[in-house]
Amino acid sequence: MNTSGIIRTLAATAWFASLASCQSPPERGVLTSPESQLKLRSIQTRAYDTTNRQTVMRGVISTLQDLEFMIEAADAALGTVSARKFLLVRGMAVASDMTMTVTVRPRGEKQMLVRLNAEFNRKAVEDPEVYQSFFVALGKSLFLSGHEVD
Amino acid sequence: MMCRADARAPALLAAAVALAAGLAACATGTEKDAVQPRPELLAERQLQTRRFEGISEEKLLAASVGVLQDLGFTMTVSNLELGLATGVKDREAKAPEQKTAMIVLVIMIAMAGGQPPPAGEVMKEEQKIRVLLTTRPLPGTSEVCEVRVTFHRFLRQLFVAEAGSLRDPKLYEGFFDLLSKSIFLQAQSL
Repeated sequence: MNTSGIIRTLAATAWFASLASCQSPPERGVLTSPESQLKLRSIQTRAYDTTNRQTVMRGVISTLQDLEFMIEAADAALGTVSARKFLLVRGMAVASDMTMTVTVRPRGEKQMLVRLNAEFNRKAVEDPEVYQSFFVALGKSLFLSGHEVD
Repeated sequence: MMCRADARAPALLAAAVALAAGLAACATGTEKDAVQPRPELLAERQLQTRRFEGISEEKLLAASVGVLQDLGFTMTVSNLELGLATGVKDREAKAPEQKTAMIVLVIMIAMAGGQPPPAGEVMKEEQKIRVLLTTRPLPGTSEVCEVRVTFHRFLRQLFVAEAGSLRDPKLYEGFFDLLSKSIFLQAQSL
């Protein structure tokens, strides 16, 4: 086999290998979560000293609007808000995006618990600074400080 | 006599420079950037917000949604309890300078000896304008409400993706002019 024949064979093998790697079972990934889930949940959650769920939800939406997210779904009864932001890019045709799901639910009789899940380019965000930045902005919107919870 | 490879060199170099510039621009969007408020937030919020007196939140939200419908938006979320409405609209044809840029890129690919994509693929585009509108009654009042609107654009073409908020003050002034007229007409039951 000459050199070009070898190159063609290698290219074909690489192509088939890349196709095979795409064939992961669809159920894989459904029940996986980051290893340090408990720690991450703590980073993602803050408690606010208010009993007014609607006020907190409106604060969440206002904060997302400040941060230039688009609201994709909101349910006042369940206390959930989903939002997405495409980052300002001017270049190749692959836009970065961040998605957020925020839940608001009562904690005891005096507090509301806010939990935020963020994904960046379909990968869970584990950087505490990202969550901290959001909760700082939410605190300003609500005129309340969020408490860390265990 | 110049060989074929030499003739291609300038086009290849230009394509490489364009590609590098595009990749460099992409590097600005990180997950931390996504949650950082812009320094101009307060001024922009002021531009995006209007206060209306003598109208309930329900009527203000309904009038706002009516204006967005007039503008051709399809409403995707609306919730009175949260004072929230969102909509989306497909944007019209791309700007002439964008078309020119696409044609130049295709010519560069052809000059470099590459196979240009089919014309249909080159002109294929996804351009959407999204709107997020929120209302809120001012604390301690029943008939004084604020409405805030933000418009965002998302554009995806063969080689280019752009996304971000629309910031032209005229856009927001125009929207609030239409909303004021709509509320006035509503009050007059016209």
